[in-house]
Amino acid sequence: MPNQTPLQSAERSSPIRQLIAAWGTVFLLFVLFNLLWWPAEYRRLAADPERFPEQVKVLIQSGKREEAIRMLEEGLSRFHPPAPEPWNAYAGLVQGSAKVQASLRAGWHSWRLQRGGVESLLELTRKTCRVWPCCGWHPESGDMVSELSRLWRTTLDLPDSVSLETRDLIALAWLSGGRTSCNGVIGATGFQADESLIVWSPGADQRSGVLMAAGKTLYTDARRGMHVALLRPGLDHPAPEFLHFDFWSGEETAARFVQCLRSVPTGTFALFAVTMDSRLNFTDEDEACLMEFGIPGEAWENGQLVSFGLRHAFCAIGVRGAPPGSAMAAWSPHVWRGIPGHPVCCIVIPEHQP
Amino acid sequence: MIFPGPAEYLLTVAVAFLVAALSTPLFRAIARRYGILDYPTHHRKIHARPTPYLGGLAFFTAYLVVLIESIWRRPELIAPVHYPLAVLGAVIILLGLADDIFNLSGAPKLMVELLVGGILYHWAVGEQGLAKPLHAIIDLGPLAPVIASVWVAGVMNAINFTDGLDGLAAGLVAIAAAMLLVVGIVNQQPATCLVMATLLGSTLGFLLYNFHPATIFMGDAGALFLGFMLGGATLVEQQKGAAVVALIVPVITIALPIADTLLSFLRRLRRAREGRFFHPDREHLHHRLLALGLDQRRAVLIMYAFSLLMGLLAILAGILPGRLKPGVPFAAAGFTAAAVIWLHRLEQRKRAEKQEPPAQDNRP
Repeated sequence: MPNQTPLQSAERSSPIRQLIAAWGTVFLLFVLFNLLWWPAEYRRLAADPERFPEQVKVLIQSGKREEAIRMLEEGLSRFHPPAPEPWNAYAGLVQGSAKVQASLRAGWHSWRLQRGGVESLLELTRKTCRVWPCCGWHPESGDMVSELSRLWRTTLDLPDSVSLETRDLIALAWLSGGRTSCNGVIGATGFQADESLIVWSPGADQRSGVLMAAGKTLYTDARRGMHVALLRPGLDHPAPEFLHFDFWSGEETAARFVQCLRSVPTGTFALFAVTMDSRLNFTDEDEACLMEFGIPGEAWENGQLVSFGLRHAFCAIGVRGAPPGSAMAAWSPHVWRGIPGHPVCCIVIPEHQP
Repeated sequence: MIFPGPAEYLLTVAVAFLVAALSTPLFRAIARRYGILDYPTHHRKIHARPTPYLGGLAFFTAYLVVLIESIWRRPELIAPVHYPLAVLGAVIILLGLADDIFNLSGAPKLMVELLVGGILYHWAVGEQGLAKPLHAIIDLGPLAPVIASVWVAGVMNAINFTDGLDGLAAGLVAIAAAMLLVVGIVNQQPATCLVMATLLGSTLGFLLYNFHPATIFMGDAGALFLGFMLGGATLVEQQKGAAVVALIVPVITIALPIADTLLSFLRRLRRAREGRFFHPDREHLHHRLLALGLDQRRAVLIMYAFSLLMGLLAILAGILPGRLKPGVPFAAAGFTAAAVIWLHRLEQRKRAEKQEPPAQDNRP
């Protein structure tokens, strides 16, 4: 009928026809969207900094070796990738150059991520000791060596039969990004220890706890939270005081942490190590208090103390009253695609040792 | 990543507004051409004339255009959750369109909604895990995907239930999106901000045609899509290095649809013995406001005002320091309960007035 309104004529459309029209419109829109989306998405992914390993491959293929090294250095330090390939690529690229230490550390990450064999690890520690002077350390306590050896074996999934010597432990501490001092000086604090100080944090690895040692005194604890050892130098070999703060247990722990640490006199040495997590309820006041022990400000990222983040390893040796950043601190804070960090260790070897 | 400024999201609001405002007449014409209309044949229908559906396609189109505009102009605005929301949003639109045309029964629809929520969780949230806001992180373990899909399906149905008056659902979503956009900007949540800016712009653009008297309806397709986007975008957000689901803020923001859904659920439970759980009724809050004698426009504006109040509380919940946060949900629950009781009392008074016989004049 010529005088029908659009509504009247439409009433005769069958539901199937209506569905085809409606779904067809959606289909058309969606196809058009994808045609415009994917070229931009591919371009975006190609430029994504997290995709630096792929970009490095292109650079290597086109002979841009120096640019590839720079990109790898930036990518590795920014993302701590959990895949061995980029570490391996970097170790290979800088091998034989002046960047021998960087090459060794990259080699260790590659070994850790591909769970390499014992022999290749020991080969790596031997190579490290050739360039790293602290390996001649003679610790005061044999128990400490065996305990530290056990912790590394456990966390690195090495068989119990593997014997890690003192030099391997020192090399591992350095390889894993820890801080080591061969002259007894604690970082840049200006303070000097007259006995060995060791602190080891397992991070998320629940198979082990923290280890702290001052001379012959050894402390291990697997409880969640922040562990602190306080030593007062100048006294005649005083017994260290060991404290434990489980920040998850409540906000009062945060207050107790500040109270305890602020009560110690200037010049007190403090060893810090985290098991599992120590971030919840951690306040700005706690943060400021840690900085009073010389803990570096870089431990914070976007206002969060990443070092004590969920399942992140952190350990430090500081001195009360030292300027921020002067303490020895090591952490493995970066989670990259869901993989938590690795154990870290700080070691101070007194000056009279080689 | 540097968080884009509020101006960036104002531009997104403008783009979404323009796309919705320009595309809605087009979809209205397609709906008329093919007779995809809502006929006022059922007692639950408020409108008097057959009204075109397909308004929901305007929201979908606006979202797709915003994604394209963002990825080409400023790719860092795009978060991993945005593409899954587009794909699964398309599935929801298809489901809603089928429902608009065939009037599907509730049970299979709910199954698809739950499934889509579960897929979104695994696709966009995945191993990042679920946690609770208010500083109390709870490991939900294997329950996480279940809770996620119930949340998404719940929000979808909550928005769908409110789509009973001209401009109501779109307006409520616009208010919720505006509030969540403010919270997102304050908390620097780029994934949420882009979606909320799109929802705000597209619903405002659509309201040009949908506010009373409406010339087009969003239909189930639109209501489910809006609910899906609202529920999905609030499901995951990076906060302080850990992915968390801060559900309290969106719960407060859409307290009105949620309260309506809960009341509807209770009524349905009562009807379940008669095997009529999935049967709709005319007892939703907007129906009850109309029954009190309010016109559509007033009923809608009252509900807007209440939603605005809830939205302001949500902003408070989003920006207050940790120890003060728990008070806000209680305040929101108190306001909602007070509003429902107030409505109930008005209804009782109205009923009593109807039953009361006219007063007799006994003067000599």
